[in-house]
Amino acid sequence: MDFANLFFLLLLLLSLTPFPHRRHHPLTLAGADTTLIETTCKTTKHYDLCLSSLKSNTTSSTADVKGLALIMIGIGTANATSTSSYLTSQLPAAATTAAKNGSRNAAVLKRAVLKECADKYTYAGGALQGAVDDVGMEEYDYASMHVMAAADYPSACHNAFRRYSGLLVYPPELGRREDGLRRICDVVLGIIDLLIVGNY
Amino acid sequence: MAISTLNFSLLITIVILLLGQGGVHKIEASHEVYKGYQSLETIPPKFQPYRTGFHFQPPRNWINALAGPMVYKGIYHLFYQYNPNGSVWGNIVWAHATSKDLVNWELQPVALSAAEPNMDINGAWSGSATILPDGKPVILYTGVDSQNQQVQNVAVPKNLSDPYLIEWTKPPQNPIMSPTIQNQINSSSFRDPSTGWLGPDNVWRVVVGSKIGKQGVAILYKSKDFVNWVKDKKPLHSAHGNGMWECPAFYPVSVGNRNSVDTSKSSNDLNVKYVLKVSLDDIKHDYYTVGSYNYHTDVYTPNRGSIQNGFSGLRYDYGKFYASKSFYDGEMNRRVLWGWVNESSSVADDVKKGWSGVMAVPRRVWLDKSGKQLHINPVQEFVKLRMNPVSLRNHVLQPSSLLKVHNITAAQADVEIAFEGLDLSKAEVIDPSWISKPQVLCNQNDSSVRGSLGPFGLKVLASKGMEEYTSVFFRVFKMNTQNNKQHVVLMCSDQSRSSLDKDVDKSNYGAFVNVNPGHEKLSLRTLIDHSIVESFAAKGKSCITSRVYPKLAIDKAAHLYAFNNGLQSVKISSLNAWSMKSAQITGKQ
Repeated sequence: MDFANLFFLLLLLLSLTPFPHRRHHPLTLAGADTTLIETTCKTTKHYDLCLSSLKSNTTSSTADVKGLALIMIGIGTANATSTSSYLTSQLPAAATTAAKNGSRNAAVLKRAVLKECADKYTYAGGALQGAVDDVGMEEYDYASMHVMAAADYPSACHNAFRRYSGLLVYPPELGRREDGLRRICDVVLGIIDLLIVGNY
Repeated sequence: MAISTLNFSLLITIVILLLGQGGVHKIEASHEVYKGYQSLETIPPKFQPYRTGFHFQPPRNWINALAGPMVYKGIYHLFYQYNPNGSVWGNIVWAHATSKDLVNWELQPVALSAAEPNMDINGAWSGSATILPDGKPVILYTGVDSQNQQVQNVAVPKNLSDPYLIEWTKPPQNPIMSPTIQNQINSSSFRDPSTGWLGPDNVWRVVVGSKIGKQGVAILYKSKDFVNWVKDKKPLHSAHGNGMWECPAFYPVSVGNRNSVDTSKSSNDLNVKYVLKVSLDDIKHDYYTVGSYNYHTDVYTPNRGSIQNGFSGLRYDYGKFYASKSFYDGEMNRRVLWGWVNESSSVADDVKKGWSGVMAVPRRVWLDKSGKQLHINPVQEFVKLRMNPVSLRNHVLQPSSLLKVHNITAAQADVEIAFEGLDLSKAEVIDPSWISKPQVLCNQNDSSVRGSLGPFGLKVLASKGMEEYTSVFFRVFKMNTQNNKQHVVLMCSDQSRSSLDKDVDKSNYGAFVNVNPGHEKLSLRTLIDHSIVESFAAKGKSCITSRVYPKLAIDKAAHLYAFNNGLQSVKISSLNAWSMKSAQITGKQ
């Protein structure tokens, strides 16, 4: 084997050796932005949720902290909007089930509570939209207040079910969504806190 | 208050005493008594330039202190002191209104009237609501009995399945707390029972406001069943030199968690601090301290460095805001605060216009991360009244400049503005002794007095030719303390030019704002509603509410400006202004 071939072989061998990474991440390229998502998520209350949510978004790897906040708010808005739609879609089913069981009062009640809950989740989405505007303008104080409010609306829906705990059952699916939205809001608040501190 | 009015009221009081009240005690009310006007109902005039659009106020007559606000089965209840017969204090009953959203209200019939000789025939005064562990609400309130003594009574809903809780009954056990020779309680200074809280021993506790000489006292009472109460030997807390404590409130707040803590669940959790708030009768301001509570010994200890004697402690609001009441809103896991804002106009004006008093917008209360003070801001629901947004970004306000905000109903608006870009090296020095006197600073230096950094802020309810305007603004100073140099921010609400009318109170209010202008923007939110201006600085670290009565800057003739009257320029990083829809207040009182 002559020198050129040997050199080429060496090059080939080197290219196959794995370089030392801090982590193995088949989805991302440069180490720098992964670290930003990780360091950002570390300061929030729900690291795993933050990490998985942000990484599932294709633009997060090149986003700055402000961008990460906006992505997370978007995830929250999606939850709120889809929950509101989910609740509205349950309305006809509520009537049918109750009619089958012969309990008309429970049906009327359930529809009223589902409607109230749909409204609450719509307000939550509205509050998060307000937060988007404020983050865009770097008014982080106001943004955090909107997110705080968004986090409260799911409780109001749960309480509406609690009021009639003898007659109505709080749907487990709704419970999952309530917890989900509240955790997402907690994460957003954590990221906004970073922005408040780092703003100057 | 004008001297002539004071003499008039004294004269009336003397005449009444001379007319013979027998051996009965004189009522020591915390209000001026205008017997001639108490039951004088006039037809209110049609032209009402000062009635608010989105604040709670009944259609006519006098209102004062909050009483027992609460939420039950998803419906918010507002109870308040009301004179059904006139525009001055008197004939006091518990009026009632309900709401699903804290914005739009339905007036309900009177909840508690002044009817029982041994309980409240001379007045159903203020008190609080407690939600028992089984979810039932119960009211504790002060009644003035036939002997003109202040006693405490309990009231329960007549029909728990009525979500509007229209009717209330007063059990025969009333009064359940009375001033006696044994307990030595001053019968003219014993009122405003608080919301109850459960100790780890399953015993209820409440505090009642009182005084011993010039010492304000929160008397502690305990009960196993909320009906039979025993006075504790020690008060929950007291302080010298600041007079009678009205409307005491005691509640937990969470450190590091923005959500509120349910009052009825007591806690020795290190992450839970407590707030003790009192309304000081002598000066009509609400003060609070943050501290820790040992629920085994029932001892409240304010944080080190808290000011509770004298008048320079932390206040819910540094302007017109009194006899406030907060409650834990279990619907939304937050604490909501109501405050009464009385008129700054004359009694004669109130009688003429046929009403007196408004409620401040309900506000959310939460503990700052530092654990040292509260944040207080309008509840989120008010954003639904916003319309027609006007926005501005990154605008430098040169010295001596005025920036008009167009396309807005300036008499009924919501404004958020944030400032940055201050050259802090140019800040003037302020002596540390001024830190306890922000109101004096604002009274002595109105918006026309130029500083280096400031005054800059908003001019609201301004007339076209600027003959009238109310200014809400900041000034930034440098203070050389023992340890280091620091910058301090002063906030003023300047009413000195608010009206051409000479008979209204136009004093200024002031507060320092606990922010570091080197690290954060100076943010201000102001709600403008015809005759009330409510301002919140730095996410509600300092609030100032004021009442103004312009003669020119009314309705469409009112304007809104941002301004900078300092020697240095300042940048508006963003300004957002909305016209506000009116709230619906329906039903009959």
